[in-house]
Amino acid sequence: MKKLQRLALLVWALPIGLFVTPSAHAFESVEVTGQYPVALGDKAQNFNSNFGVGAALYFDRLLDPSVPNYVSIGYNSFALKVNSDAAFRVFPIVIGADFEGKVFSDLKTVFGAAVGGAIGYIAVPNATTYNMSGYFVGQIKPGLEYDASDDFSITARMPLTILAGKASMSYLTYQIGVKMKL
Amino acid sequence: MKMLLKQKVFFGLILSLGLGVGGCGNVSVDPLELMSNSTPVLNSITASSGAISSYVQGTFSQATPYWVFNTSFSGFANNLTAPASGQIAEIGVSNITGANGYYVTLIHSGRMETKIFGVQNITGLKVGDYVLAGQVIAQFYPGSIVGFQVLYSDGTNGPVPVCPFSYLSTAFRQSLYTYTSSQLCQ
Repeated sequence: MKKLQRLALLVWALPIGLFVTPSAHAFESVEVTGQYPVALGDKAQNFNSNFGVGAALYFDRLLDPSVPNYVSIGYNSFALKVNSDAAFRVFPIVIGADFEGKVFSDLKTVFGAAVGGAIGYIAVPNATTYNMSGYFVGQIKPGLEYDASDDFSITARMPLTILAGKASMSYLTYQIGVKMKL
Repeated sequence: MKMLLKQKVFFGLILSLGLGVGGCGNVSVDPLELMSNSTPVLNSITASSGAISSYVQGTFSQATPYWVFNTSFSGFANNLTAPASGQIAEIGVSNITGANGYYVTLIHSGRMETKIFGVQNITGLKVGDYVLAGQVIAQFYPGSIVGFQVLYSDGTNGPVPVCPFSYLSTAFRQSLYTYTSSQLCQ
């Protein structure tokens, strides 16, 4: 199954490569975020939160010129209460669209909606095998964006992420980021 | 608006990611299934019920929050089995007096894990592996001492040792019929 995982990553490198190849206006901006996820639902009591990170690339508007599109990847981790040395780690990869609304001159509201997939596993110290599982991901991401300068913005968002596989889980993330125009 | 070919390919790959990732990996259990709120029924840790010959340590108490068993010298398979399905979280050196060798920690759910002490010859398993209930995970030396501990988390605090008796399967309880409840739990 590790070969299938490598193949999936390779397959995913192709479309990412298509968009990374030099092309005027291929990407509009890049965002880097710090994240703090909080588990929701019936499993919430079994997890403690750990800090995570994420990144997003905003690119050519696919369907509507006024709606920026993005692909984002994140790393979120939840320590297990039943064994504090172990953690559930998840890597969601999603593609979505950001809908913007203006509050006043440099501040705007943003509402992102995205779908994609994720890989999750329980990490234990000194493990030599990882039982990974895949999930479908649905995500909505409301928040605020402040244009600090022409090339630089600060974002504060609260993505709600839903993981759906053989089992499911949802979590809310407190996210602060920096967005830079390319 | 008409989509370019590469855009169609990209969206198609988005959908395939979910399908492909969902089927990838060598996992036999979804980590989120493992992290349910269930408290699984615990089966015997020995492959043969007669392998537990007598109860040595005394009752489960705050001072000794585990059970310790003498095992039979002969006539029974000396295999230790997983009391419930779960993931091997830790393998270490046993620190229970008399239960020499190693211990294995298994995470069974988001609320329960177990430890088995006095383990020898761990059968090709490694930390991170997933095991099924009843699967042979190691062996004990015939006539040796084996320890068993159940840890439970109520979802508010970390795991605390609990007396295993109320979590056992009917068959496991029956194998301990020679002991009274006061001999097993305090």
